[in-house]
Amino acid sequence: MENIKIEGTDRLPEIDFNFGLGQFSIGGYSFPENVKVFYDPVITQLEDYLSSLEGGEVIFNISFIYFHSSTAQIVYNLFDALDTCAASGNSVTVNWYYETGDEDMQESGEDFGEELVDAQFQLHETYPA
Amino acid sequence: MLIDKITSLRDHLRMDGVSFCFTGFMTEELLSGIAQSLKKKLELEKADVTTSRGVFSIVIEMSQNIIRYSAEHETSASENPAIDLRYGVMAVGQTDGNYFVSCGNLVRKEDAERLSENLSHIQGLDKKALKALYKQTLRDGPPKGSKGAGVGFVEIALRATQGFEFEIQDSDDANVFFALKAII
Repeated sequence: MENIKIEGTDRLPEIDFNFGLGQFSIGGYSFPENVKVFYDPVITQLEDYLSSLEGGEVIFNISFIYFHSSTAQIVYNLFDALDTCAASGNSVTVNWYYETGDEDMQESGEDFGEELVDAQFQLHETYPA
Repeated sequence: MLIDKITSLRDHLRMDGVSFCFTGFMTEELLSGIAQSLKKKLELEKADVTTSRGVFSIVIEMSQNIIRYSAEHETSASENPAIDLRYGVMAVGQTDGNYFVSCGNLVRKEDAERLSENLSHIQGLDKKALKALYKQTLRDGPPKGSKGAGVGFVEIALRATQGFEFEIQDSDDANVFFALKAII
C-alpha cells in the first residue's frame, strides 16, 4: 500500500500514514469545507489496511491544535476502526498529544480515549518550543 | 452623506465592542481569512488558550452554519461545481471583559420549531450532559438533514463558558430570522 503524506495548512491537517511501518500521524488544524471530500480517500485506505491486518502492530499519533465539529465525526469513526483492529488481535496504540494549558484538547482526548476498549490509549502533554 | 453613513455604521459597531463584523454571502474562503485574522487578534490581546480556542471554534461553527443552512441564498446549478452562496451576518467582539460571537441568518419556517426546541434543550444542559449528548450524537452518526456531524450547537454550548442566547422572529411568509449570541 502506498504511503500517504499530506502537508498541513492553516485549515487542513498534516497527514503521515506509513503503512509499511504501521505508523500513522495526523495533526494541526482541521476545518475543511467538506470533510468527506478531504478525509474519505485517506480514511478508506486506512480502514482497508486495518481490517486486513493480522498479528500486526499499529501506532497512531494524533496532535490536533484544533478540529471542528464535522471533523469530530471522522475522529470518532477512526477510533472505532482502530479499536476493531485491536479487538481482532492486533496491537494498537493511540497517542493523543495536547499543548500544555489546552484543557479542551486534553478533555477531548480523554473523551475519545474512553471509547477505546481493546486499543491502548495514551495522553501526552506537549510544550511549545 | 457618505461619510455620515459609514461613520455611523462604524461608531455603532465600535460602541458595541465589535472587532470583526461581516454581513453578506459567507464563503469558505472568507471563513479561512476571518479565522486567520481572528487568530492574530487573539494573540495580540493575549487571550488565554481556552478563551482563544473557544472564540475561534465558535466563529468556525457559526460560519459553517450560515454556509450550510442559511435560507437566504443564491444558487447557480449551471456552473461546475454549482455555486451556492448563503447570506448571513456575524460579529466578534468584547464587552464587560468577555468575548462574544453573534450570528444571524434566515431559516425556513418549517425548520424553526425544531431549531428552537433543539437549542432550548441544549441551553438547559450542564457540561457533563452536553458532553454525553455530543458523544451519543457521534455514536449515532449524523442526523437526517445534517451536512456535518450534527454537534455544532453542542460544540458552541461547550465553548461558550458564559452561556448563549438565541431569538427567532418572523421575517416573511417563508422564513424566520434566527439570531444567536455566545459569550466566552
